[in-house]
Amino acid sequence: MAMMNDNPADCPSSSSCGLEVENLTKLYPPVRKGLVGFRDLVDTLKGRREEVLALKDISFGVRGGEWFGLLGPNGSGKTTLCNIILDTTTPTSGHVLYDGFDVNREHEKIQGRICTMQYQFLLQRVNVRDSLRRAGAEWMLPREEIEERMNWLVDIFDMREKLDDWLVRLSSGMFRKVMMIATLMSGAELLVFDEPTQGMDVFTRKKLYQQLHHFQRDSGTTVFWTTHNLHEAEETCDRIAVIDNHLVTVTTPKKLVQEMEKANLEEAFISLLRGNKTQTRGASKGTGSE
Amino acid sequence: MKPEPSLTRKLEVYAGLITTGFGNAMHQYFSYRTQSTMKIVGTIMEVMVWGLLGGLVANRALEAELISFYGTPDMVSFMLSGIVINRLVDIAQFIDPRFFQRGYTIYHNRPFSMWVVAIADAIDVKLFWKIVDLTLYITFATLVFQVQFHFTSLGFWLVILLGALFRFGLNLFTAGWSLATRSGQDPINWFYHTTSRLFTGELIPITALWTIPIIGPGFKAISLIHPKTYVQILGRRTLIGQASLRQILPQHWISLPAQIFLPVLIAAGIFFLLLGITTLKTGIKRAKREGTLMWRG
Repeated sequence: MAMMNDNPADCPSSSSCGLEVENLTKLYPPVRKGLVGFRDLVDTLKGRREEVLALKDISFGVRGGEWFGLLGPNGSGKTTLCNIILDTTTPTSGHVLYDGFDVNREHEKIQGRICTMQYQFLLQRVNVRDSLRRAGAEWMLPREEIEERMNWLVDIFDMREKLDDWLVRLSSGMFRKVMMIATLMSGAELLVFDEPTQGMDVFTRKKLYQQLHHFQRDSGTTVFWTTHNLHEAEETCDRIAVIDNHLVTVTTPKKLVQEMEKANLEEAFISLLRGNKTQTRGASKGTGSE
Repeated sequence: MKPEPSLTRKLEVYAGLITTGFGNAMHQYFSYRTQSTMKIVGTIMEVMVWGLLGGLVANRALEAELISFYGTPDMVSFMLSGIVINRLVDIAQFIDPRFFQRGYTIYHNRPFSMWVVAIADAIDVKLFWKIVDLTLYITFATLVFQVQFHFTSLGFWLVILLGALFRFGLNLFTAGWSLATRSGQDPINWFYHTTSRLFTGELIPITALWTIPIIGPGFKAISLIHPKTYVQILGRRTLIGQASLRQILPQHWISLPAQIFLPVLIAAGIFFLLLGITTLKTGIKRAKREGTLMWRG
């Protein structure tokens, strides 16, 4: 299967491109064995210590204001890529640029512009309102702005009745909504979501997409979204990238379905990756025989 | 792109974050009514046990030793002041070593100084428990056991500050160690905690330990390398013995061993602070390379 890109450069000019991933490779150091490292030493001497490949030479761009989906099977490097964007993992080579700044080497220049759905609500017996106020304070928002955004978002997410409830009394779906509201309150330009709808029922999920879409359209925020739910990706994403440790394709969900001649994105995705795996296996066999 | 906020605005928000955290922690603290009552009763029982136990120890030779070495007139004031000093250093340690394990991934992208968030994070429910415990200890020690604390001593607060600086460095070291090795315990903290109660003079005068046949010299060595020993000695001398700031400075002490107390404490504070910062930086770098800075919600 040949690689398909709707536009090879993906971002025609850097001004319209929020995020640029350029030749990104990540190899994790070999897993340590044993207590004293003797086995590691033996393995090193025998040349058996191999680094673990997570990402290989990946390049694509995400346009400002779009909802970009990152798809791939388990272990394909999605979380690694998110962690590199968030500068909690360093790449082995290549780089990720946001607004022209290297997210790992010039992190201080983009601090406060990228947010992920990671909130720490340790105080479970504090109400939703106070927890959200604290979350807003972490983004340096003025008090009035915190109230304004909170009121706007609790209405979008249908959470007004829960504002005075302790966090501990919320269901896990509701708790995730609070996390989502806290994330959106940040006002960050790029939101990175790593499987945010995990564990949510279909009703909550559907509502969440609608609400998030509504928010995104109004605010012009760029959304970088990884998911295993392909119906979700088909419904929500403007464009998608499929990775399997290397880049398979960057396209729109609609285009991929059409090009693969399948009924929906899930079938197209399976077909694409099967073809890709067969091709990869064939290629490696060929290399071995040479 | 948002404009960079001014310094005044930043300070205002930092203060806001800390006070919001404090307010939320207070809500949480008072939400556990039964638990709070039980803990308060537990602390009162504890202070009574130590106070009464100290009162039962009536030994003139020991009391003379206590006055000359620690500046405490009797065993009751020795024991209760030891616990108060220990708890004060615990309160003033600025950050929780586990903060970086769970907080780094969360706060790294916030438009904030990580240190402010770390301090705000430390002002949580546990701090309230510590403050309540300490208040109960001081109140009961003063009213029931007639211990005379001199909290106005500047020298005392200098000692507490140096002790807190040392603990802060140690916490940074623990944070860096656990990030780099993914283990929950580091050897320095393990040593610090396991030897703390017995060898530093929190409850037992260290001079009494040093005279035990055969093992005494070994105990002395452990006491002397433990920085908390110096916090306990200098803390008691200022808090109970009313030594002034000038009096705890080395040149005012006649005996040679006493001259090293304050310099050792300062050196330990600076050394562990530098060690802590270096270990933390190395730990973060390594964890980023290995991809182990995981978000655990």
